[in-house]
Amino acid sequence: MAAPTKDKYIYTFVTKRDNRESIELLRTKAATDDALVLKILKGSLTANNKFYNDFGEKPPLNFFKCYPIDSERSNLVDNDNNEISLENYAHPVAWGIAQVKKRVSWKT
Amino acid sequence: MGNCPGKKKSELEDVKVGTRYLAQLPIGDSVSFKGAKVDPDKHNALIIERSGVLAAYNVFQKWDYSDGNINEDLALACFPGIITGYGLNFNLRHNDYYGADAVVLTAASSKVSLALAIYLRHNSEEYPSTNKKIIGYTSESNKEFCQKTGLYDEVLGYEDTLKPLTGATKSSFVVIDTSGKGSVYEQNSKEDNVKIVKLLSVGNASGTPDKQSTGSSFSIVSTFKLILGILGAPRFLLSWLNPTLEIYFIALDLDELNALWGKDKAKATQDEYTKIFCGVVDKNKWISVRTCDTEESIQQGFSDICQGNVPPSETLVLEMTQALEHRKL
Repeated sequence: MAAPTKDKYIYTFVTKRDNRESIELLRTKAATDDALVLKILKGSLTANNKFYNDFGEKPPLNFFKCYPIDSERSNLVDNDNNEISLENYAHPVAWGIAQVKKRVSWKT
Repeated sequence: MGNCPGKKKSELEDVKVGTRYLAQLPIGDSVSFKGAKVDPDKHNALIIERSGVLAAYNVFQKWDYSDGNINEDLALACFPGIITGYGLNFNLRHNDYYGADAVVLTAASSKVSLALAIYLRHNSEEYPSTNKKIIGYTSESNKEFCQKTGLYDEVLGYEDTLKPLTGATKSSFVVIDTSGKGSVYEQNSKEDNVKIVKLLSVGNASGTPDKQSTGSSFSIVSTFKLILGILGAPRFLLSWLNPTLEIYFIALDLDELNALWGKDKAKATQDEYTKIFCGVVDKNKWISVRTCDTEESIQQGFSDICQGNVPPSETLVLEMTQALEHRKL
């Protein structure tokens, strides 16, 4: 298998839905059909993040719905156990600064 | 048609490469979307095309604080507190403090309360420093921190009750409740000489279970207003309902400031107040920034936050690019 090239993958941290006090690194193959790509420069963590975690699956806030895991394209970086279901994981959210890196230019 | 390529092209042309936005993001190095557009009515915010999440999460606000005139890390880490304190400041002032004699802030060490107290103390020609007494409620471990700021006339523990102001037999209070501890309202509402004229429920920083939280004291009208607010009911309807206890909707106040001042002045004022907060906090070194620039330090920081091991005097900034760059090599 060829070595991953720059920007072929994106890396995000995910938390277990039944134990939200730690995060693990997830690798996801970048979607090529998305029109807009933003590079995340910085994030922040405050006591609010505990609240966002607690309300991850609670309506109406449902913070975990913001960035669903694409389980077809993703795998945990430090855990190659194929039995692990990514359904049991979610993306916690954090306030951060993102910079527009790429936007599609449609050919007409 | 909303999804035809022609329309997407025209909408995306307004999105400039290199522009920075503040948003709720995943903790990672990149994020992508199928479509977005710039909304001039929201200070050129980026509106993400995404279904299934609350509309508010799709608003990526333009970030203008990377020019070195402000402590960017502090502004980022304290943003939710700053913006909420900003909205509450004008809410209290424009409502003449709901007729209260004093302002009570729970979770007094939180960034919301610090920001609000700073803004109430701030003196300008149009908005002079408040002459209301500011009382803070906090946990025993954070009392010293709150007292040292000098922002509060009095710092109470959660077991304490309010007392009439000096020289008065009875006093009225407006409570800004960020702690979520239902005991604050419950115990004070039993005091004969204390009247809570308004309680705005901002959060549940203490993680108090629902049955003991401030929300458990909500009346039917409070709950009805909460539901209407979440459903995006018209402002006139929400204003018409006026329960003593109610949830605080920051978006309504921001809309009102836009209507009152116009968008440009509202944005300039918000920027000015962000600078005021960061300036005061930075100068007094009330809050330090812990920089997490490796995968391990980000993971440790997340656990520390979730386990409540980060004191109010510290906040965490995650250097995503730096921490994850080695994965791209």
